[in-house]
Amino acid sequence: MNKDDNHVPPLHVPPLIEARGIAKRYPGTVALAPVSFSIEAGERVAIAGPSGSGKTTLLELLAGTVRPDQGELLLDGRDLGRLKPGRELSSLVGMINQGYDLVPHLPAIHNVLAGRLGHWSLLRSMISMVRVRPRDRRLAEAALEELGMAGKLYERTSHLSGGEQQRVAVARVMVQSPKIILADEPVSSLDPARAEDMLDLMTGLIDDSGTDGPVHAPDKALIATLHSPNLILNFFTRVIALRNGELQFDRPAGMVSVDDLDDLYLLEGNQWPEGWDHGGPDRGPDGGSGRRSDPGEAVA
Amino acid sequence: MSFSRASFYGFLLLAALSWAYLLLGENSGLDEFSSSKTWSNAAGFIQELAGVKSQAKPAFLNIDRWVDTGRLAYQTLIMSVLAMGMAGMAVLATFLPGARNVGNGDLGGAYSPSWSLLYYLLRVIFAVTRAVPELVWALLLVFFFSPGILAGAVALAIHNYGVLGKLSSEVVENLDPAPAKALRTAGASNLQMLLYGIIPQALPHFMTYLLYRWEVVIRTTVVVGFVSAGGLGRELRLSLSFFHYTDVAQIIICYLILVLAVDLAAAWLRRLARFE
Amino acid sequence: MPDHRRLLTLLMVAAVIWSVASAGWGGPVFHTGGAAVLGEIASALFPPELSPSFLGLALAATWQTLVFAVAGITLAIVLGLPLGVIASGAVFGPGRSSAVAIAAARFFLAAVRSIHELVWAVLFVAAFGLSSLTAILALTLPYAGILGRIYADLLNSVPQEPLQALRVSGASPFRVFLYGRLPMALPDAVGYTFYRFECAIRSAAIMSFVGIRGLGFEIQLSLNDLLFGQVWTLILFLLALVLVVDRWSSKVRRSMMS
Repeated sequence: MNKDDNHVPPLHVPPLIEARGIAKRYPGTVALAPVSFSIEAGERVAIAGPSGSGKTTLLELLAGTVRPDQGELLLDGRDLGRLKPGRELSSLVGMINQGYDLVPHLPAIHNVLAGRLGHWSLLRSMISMVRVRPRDRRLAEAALEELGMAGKLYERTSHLSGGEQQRVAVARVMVQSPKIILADEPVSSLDPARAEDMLDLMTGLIDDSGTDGPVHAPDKALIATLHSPNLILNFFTRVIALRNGELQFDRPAGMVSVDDLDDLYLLEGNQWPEGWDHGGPDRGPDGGSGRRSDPGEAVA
Repeated sequence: MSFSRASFYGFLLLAALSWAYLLLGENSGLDEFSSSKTWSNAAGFIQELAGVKSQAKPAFLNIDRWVDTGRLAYQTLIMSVLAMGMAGMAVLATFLPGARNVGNGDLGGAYSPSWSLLYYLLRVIFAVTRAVPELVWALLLVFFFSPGILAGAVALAIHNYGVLGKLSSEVVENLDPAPAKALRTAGASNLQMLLYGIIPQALPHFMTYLLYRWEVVIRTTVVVGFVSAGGLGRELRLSLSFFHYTDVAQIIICYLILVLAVDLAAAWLRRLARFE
Repeated sequence: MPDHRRLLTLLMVAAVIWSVASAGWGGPVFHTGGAAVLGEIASALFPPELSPSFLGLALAATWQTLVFAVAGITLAIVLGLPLGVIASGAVFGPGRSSAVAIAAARFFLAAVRSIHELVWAVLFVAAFGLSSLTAILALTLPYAGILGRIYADLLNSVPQEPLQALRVSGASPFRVFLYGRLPMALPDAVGYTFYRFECAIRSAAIMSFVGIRGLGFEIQLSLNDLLFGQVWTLILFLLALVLVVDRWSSKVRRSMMS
């Protein structure tokens, strides 16, 4: 199943994200070497690479939870460093974490409505904990219904299954409705059918956003880290590949092959990690068919 | 040798020294406990408690006395609930700044020097109020309060504020910070992060500790009553000084019933708090 | 059933409101001139009584309190540990006699810890007269009760897999207990015992009420003479003693974990 990109890039509008040489170092390691790119509204970008490649760091930089050590990061034309957390930042960017990071003791409805915290005063947040406004309840209900979980509104979040909790995290972002949706490994714990449903939904959030008119111009963008080549190529319009904190390539999805993605994961000595499910024909952990390429070949 | 092993031997040494000091010192009690006269006196004491020696009607067969003692037990109960209420509210107001990870930015907020100062101040207050026994607080407070259950309740509240405050702050320090940090990207301010991310996780523990402390407090209210002139404690002290031993027995029985009742109530309430 | 927590909150708020209402506000709550005395008490802290002779007295009183606490807690461990082991049922097989023993141990532990150590103290003094041993016993009984109960709970909440492994490899029930249960329960047991030792210091201090010398005794003497500076010095010594034990306890626990 292929998704066509049938959007018209908006003109005369700054890119949704513009990164110029952003980098992040931690003591003893370079998490992300300087990287530059720009992302327009309507794009669906997949960030690919093995663990430790800097994928999560890149998302954290885009979310604003971590500050870059160098370079500039502009969201919707504004410097991320100058945006105030709260209403400004939360309407621009929202994130779905790999561990969902929901508050376990709260009923699902509060975790979903947490997406509105950027718009609520402290008083309203407190009141909502005790008694949810009908308007807010309907908002949360609608989001969960779209995710097929309408009945679980008042269920304690820690009682939900992993897949259900993930959908609550997605519902939170839906309610928050930011222009940039970041997702860290959103489908790694789902079986293939569920994974496709989830990506269908998330890409729908982008494609259906923005104004309806003679020219459909979505105003949101999705950036997700994934490692399944099939899903990447089927659901995303662009691939940014990282390895060891460095940019390997940044191309439209149409120009990326399954092999390109598989090769990102080659360990030293050209072995795939054990149990690695790669998109191509089954080659097995020792490179079974006897193919041995030198490390340089893995880089496109 | 590891520190724990050295400590073990050190403690044994301390124990030996302590026992030697006490048993070889004056008025150790060794003579008394080895004399049969002491034991027959003690047996006599028990008989007096049971009321078998004297002619007068023992207190615990007297319905009116039960009513009176029951009323005092009720007052003692009120004292304990009042104390827990005051301590609980004070802790709820201050346990968050008393946690190290709230003020230093670990939860995703920013480091704030004034919150760090508040943290140290609160920790000192927790330590001091906790170190001083309730009875000493009561002795200080009777200069200020007229005799009654209020003085005892405040003394109990002050000490237990320190105990509960330290425990609750430690709960916050040991929490999983990920949910609170994730709320940041949803747009939450520092206070909203605490409200949605920390408090729901910390409250169940707080309730459990509060209810455990209530069991300790109900036992201590009688003792505090000795000095603050309230409830069963005052009556116990008076009865002892007048040698009304059957009254003493009755008060002890009432005390035991009260303790049992509170233990059961607290256990039931804890089940409610932990109901997931 | 998500509303249990709400019910609990409601009950607790209602209880507090009821207690405030019933507190007996008739008559003056505060002494006239009480505020002035409070101010006097507060200002006596800066500085407290620091004369060398009094500091020596305070130090002696601290030692007095410490020895009672140590004696009390050690006897409590001697009494509470075996009773706790019995009460946990961990060394018994099934059978009626062991069920009776377990129940008896549990009952004894629960009974002795229902009564505060000072109440035990006044009873023991009335029965046996005032002496060091009387005070130690009064402290030992409730502490044995609570230590025993906690030891029993800790022994029972130990993870089962390692025990099963021992059983499968042929160890007798006693060996399973000695090599499996006991070592796994030990760190928490030591931690809790240290905590109780800290409490015992406070309890030893308030034994002054029945006439035992120590920090509590000196505090009462100084209070009677309204010498608040001395009171603060004694409180600071008590605070220091408690803090030392608390620090020692954390270091031991950390050392046990590594």
